[in-house]
Amino acid sequence: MKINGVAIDNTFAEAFPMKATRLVVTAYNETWAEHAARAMTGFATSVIACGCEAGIERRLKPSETPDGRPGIAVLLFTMSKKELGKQIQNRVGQCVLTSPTSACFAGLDEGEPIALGKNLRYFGDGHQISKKFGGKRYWRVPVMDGEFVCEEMTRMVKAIGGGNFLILARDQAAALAAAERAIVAMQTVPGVIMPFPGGVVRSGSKVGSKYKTLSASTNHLFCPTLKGAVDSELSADVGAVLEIVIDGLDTASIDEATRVGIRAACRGRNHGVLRISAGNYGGSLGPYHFKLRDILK
Amino acid sequence: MTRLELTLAAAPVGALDLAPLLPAALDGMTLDQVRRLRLRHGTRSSALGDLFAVNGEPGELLALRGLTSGCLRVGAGLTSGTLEVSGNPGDELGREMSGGTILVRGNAGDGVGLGMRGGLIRVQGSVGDRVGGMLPGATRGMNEGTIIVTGDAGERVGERMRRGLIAICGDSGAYTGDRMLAGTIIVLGACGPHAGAGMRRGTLLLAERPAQMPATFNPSGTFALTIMPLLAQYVVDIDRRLARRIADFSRAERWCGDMAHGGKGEILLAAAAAAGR
Repeated sequence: MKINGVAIDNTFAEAFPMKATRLVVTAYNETWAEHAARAMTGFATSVIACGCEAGIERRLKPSETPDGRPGIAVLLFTMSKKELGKQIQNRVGQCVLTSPTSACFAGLDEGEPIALGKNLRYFGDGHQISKKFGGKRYWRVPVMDGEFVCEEMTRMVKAIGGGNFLILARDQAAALAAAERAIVAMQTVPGVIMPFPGGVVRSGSKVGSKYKTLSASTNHLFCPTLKGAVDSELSADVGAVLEIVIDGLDTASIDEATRVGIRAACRGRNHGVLRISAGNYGGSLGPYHFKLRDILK
Repeated sequence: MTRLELTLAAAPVGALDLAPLLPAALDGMTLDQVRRLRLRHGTRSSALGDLFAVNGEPGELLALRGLTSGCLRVGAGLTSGTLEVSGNPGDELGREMSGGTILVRGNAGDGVGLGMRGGLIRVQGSVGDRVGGMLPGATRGMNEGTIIVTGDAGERVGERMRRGLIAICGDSGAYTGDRMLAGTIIVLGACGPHAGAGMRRGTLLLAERPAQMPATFNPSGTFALTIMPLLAQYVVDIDRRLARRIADFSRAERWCGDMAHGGKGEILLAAAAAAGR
């Protein structure tokens, strides 16, 4: 299979079940909503060491937010409910509550309830005020610029982490340009985030390492500088590989993000993209398999 | 939606207790069974068919027509369905209701939503004293739900209220929010004296500045509170006009009180009212 001259490997991305929530962060204007959301989703590229994977899903118009102010929808993914609760509390508490003019709301109506402002309210030191409208409880926590308003609970749903595809290009510049095109297209798909910096990861990993203390290490079969040293997956003309990792609320969202991302990466003339592949562990670890050729049919 | 319509034909002797007339209670009955229902009035009881003209079919919607102030406890204990009431029902309308909707076209007596635990009451007219108040012997008033009155209300609106929303679109009498424990009361007209007396927590939103602010409330300044759009958003599905009026509170002067009772309650004066002081 080829798209615009780019070979699509007959392979699949292997993904794993995760727990997720969507939060809506609002503020006085888009700038401050963005500050809060970016801080909250910082250092959240991989559950391996960050505790969660998080990112900005999309910008929200004032008409789309509960308090009628500019907002940002954020998705958080973890491996367990307990960890999700901890990450919400720490990240909203340290990054949203602290951000001027901010407020934070649940972004999902369905799913298992999980604390959002329920514990953060105690920052009010007894001066916090509860307001319950239409079955939703909000906490008003007095802060130095007025009040931090936070919905008491959000919703946790089953989700999927680790959808991915690899862009194999003739050089670093071509790989980066293709990845940037893919991310721009994928950011229009609801229900997904690409948690790595700029949505792109250059340090694809494999399970295990020669060092006993490491659970993951560089995916040496896709490192172009090792082509002469290992049984490389790369042909002689491949000079750089970049990966896009996708976390999504459901398989359909990841399918769609993968589809639009690959098509955008392969778009244009002289794009320098040679192959599209995907990362997996032979299919034995993750129950979700995103087959590239089926998605791109 | 099936609808049963009961029109009061004969003026009852003594107070007529209409608590048994709930949509869920009548649902599934034949019209004959409905007519044979016994209703207490004063020390006597009569068959419903002797007091009301019966039309339609029992279901989720029950319409009570031509009620007078002698008709008490309309919709008391309502849990689901809709009661449409026309006329001027008497005291304790919606007493202890926990769900469903009561819509009144006319005035209602004292104790609307007494001990209410959920649901919605809309009165397109005025009401008497102690809206959303507490039952005799109780320590708390309304504990959930929404009451909207398009006209005026009497004294002690939301007495010992614990949770929920009461909106008075006209004037309210003395002791509005009396010893309130929590919840929200909106008064869009004039508010009588002693608003928020003994208030522990909760919010009183006053569109008009009272003649005299209570001595046990302290001003904190004027703010654009983020909670106001959330309140308006909740109300917009129930009453668009009321939701628009809540925009008057987009900037509000906040008074903390009752300082003699912990000071964790608040009176919010709409910015226009605050400017008029």
